[in-house]
Amino acid sequence: MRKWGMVIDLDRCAGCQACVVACKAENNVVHSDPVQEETFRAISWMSVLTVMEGEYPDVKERYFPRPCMHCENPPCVKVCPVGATYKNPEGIVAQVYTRCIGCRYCTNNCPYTLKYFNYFRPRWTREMKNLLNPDVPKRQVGVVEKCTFCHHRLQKAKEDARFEKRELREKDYVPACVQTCPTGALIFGDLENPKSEVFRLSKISRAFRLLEELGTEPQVFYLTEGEWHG
Amino acid sequence: MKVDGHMLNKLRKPKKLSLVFIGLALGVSVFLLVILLESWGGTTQPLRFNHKIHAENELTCQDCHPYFLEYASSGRPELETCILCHEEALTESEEEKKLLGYIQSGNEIEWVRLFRVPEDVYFSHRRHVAVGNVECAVCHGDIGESTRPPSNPRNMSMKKCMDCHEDKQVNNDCIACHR
Repeated sequence: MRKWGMVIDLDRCAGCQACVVACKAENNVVHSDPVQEETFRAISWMSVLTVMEGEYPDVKERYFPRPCMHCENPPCVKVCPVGATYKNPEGIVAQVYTRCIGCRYCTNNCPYTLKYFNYFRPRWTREMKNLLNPDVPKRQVGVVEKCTFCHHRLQKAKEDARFEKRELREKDYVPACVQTCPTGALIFGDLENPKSEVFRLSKISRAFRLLEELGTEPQVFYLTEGEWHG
Repeated sequence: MKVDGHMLNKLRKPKKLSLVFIGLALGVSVFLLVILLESWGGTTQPLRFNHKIHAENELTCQDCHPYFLEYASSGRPELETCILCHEEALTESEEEKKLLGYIQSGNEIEWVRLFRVPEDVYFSHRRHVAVGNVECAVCHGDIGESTRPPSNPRNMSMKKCMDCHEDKQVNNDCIACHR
């Protein structure tokens, strides 16, 4: 069985936010306004945090892209009372929107705060309405949503492979953020396959994971030279 | 006057019975009304397409629904397809006259989708028919034998999907279908 995971090379990230835009466009993530942003009610499955290092004038700005960690041991799954969020056999932490009752236990229990509650009814401008991705449903107000590693792409890739009577190749399936990244800072693949790039990179000495001490075992690995002072 | 329990029961009984009768009468009349409405037409489609007669003339599902082997959606017939046989009237049927009207005006027939899955469910005909070799009738029932469109669109139930997936030992993971 495959275990999908991502490697993010922080030394390569230029902070262009292309992944953020690609994610929003691919997954019909609703656009938020500054008020929602200020009250922490904005939704952005992929976000790039900026970290300033050093004192003025000798400062260095670093960027930190942050999708769902798809933990091996996900704290959000443990608290869901209705089974709307669960760990799928292929390592994706899935969210079934039609099952979610909006209790927000999972948003509170996620140590990375990467689950988003729909506080508002999603509204789209007239121009945007025709640009929504038909492969992804629009979420309702009152449900929690999250990064899914674009698993609708996996559904299609698997079907294509079966139709053509071949095995699913690793490159058949990449999330929108990885496909877009112009510097190649995001790498996606199968963490169980010893031949894959992510397998190799996740084992090197530059690799670390976010809040590793919690034991959540994220499937998103970060790479950086030296110590990370995030 | 002192009324004992026995007397009360006697008084109540006929009342209860009449209520039951009224209920029954109401139920029967509603049932009859529904049947009447159905026979009046109440059809979902702009014209009463007769699947049976087309099947008898050796047309297959694929002749009018051409995409189910290659795409997620099976497709509904376009006028171009109808014209292949119906260039001139083949029968005396009123419905065929309607069709000829459409052909003359050149407006596509706005067929209503009959079998529906919720918006967040990914259903692909290719996956089921071309890859899984599922017969059309497994989900669509005897629509091929019907002489006129059903009066209501039919919503597919998750239970039916999951039972079939269990029988065939295929992926029953939530996000295999829910996106």
